[in-house]
Amino acid sequence: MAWTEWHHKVLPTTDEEAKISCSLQAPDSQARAQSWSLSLDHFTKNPAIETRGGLELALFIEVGNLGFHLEDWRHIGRQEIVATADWHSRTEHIGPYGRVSNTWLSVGTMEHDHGTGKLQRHEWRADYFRITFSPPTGYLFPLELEAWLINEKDFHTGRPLRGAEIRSIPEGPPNLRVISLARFRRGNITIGNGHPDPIATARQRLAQSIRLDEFGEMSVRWWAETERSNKNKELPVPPGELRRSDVSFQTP
Amino acid sequence: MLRYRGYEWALVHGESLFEVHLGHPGSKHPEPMWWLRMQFIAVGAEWRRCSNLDRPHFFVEISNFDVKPGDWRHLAEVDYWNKEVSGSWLDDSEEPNSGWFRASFYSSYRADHERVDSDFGDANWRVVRMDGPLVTIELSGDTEEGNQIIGTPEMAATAPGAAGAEEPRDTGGHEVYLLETIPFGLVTATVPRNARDPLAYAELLARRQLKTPAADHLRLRDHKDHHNEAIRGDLYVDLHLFGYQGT
Repeated sequence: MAWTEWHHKVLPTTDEEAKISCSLQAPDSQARAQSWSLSLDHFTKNPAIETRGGLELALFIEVGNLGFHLEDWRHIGRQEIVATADWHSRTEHIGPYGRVSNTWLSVGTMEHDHGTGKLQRHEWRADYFRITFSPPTGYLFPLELEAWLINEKDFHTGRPLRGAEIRSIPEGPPNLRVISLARFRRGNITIGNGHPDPIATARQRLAQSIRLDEFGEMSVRWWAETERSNKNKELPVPPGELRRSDVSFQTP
Repeated sequence: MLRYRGYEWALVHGESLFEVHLGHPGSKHPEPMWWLRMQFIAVGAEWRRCSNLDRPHFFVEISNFDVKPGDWRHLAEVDYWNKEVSGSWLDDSEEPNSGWFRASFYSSYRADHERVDSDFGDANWRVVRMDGPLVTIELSGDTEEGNQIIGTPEMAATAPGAAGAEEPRDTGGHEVYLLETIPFGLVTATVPRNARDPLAYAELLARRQLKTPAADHLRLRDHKDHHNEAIRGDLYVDLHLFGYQGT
């Protein structure tokens, strides 16, 4: 269930759930050990529109970096984000491949233009938003979200914020409000060298790091094998020297 | 932690690492050649509406310093802190060589950026700790001498942090001081073109010369794709260690 108010207009309620996912780094990585993200799609349909299944408006809401570090995944239900300047300072970090993690909330929209019949696409960003999670039922967390979005073109200043701009908080009501359920659904964990059974290692590490011990589908991607298969090179892995791998997992 | 020009800096993972080039026994440079590369980017709440491209970057490089041969773990013994005499890769001195120290500051990656390049020559630096592949180094220097501003005076004056900018930043002088932890992350092995399996040859070369572990990721480079004269030249294999695949 997702109740959404977009630019002060309440959209029809949908059955969509928000998705929470996490990424855990290998112990020898210098990047932050955990990275959590949130996404929610909201589709509004209009029977009068004959194309694209009657799509009137689609919202793709995403927070790529929630800034959590949790000892238990159930503690998502205790988290409240108020994206002040201090929160941005605490949350910003460099990812394992050298990119600054974005701390903004983004919304991509596709809207039916009744004049031309075409889809209009827009991007919105908010660096001030509030998100509250509540204790879960199973893997579902009640979620409330408010954001003060501006057009992406106006959002990127190309220069550092100055003086009062750094701590400024937008006035007036938010132009995005969401009440929904968010499911902790999937994740990814990087396993270091020398683990013959990455899935077993992943299960162990997930139990230790976020107390997750029930799993749906899990799969492995070996790093070096992928590169070699791309180049049609075959080199047997020396005995006892197993490569790094990524394990993808889903919750039940 | 980096202190330079008054910015709050974050180390860029992946791009910051110790790197070594290995030659095969028949190559022009069979001895290992070591590099240290570090990259920093300005962070903090004031930059939250700026992409990576709009933020100041700072690069540090030390090239061709000496490490006791035979094992990459000898990095733990590197100490060029306040050493009055050190050799240079330009002379035949028997003294250990502390390397050639360079630093570059970019106010942004955009076309109108300010850029300052500094060549200091000898570096004042040391390894203070080593925990597996992670090496903590301490380094001090000064960008006052030998620097070269690339760009127009107008660019420099309006760059964030410049004296003429709208809100001048406390630049904190020209001194550089850093205490950071970076991995031993990359071995580039030179491989004869006629090697039956260049990847296996590269891994064997690295294991014999430096006792490296199995690489996480390997990349074969053949320069003959770009240079006709390289058609009889060597191949290069990048062995990425401890988690970084390269970009």
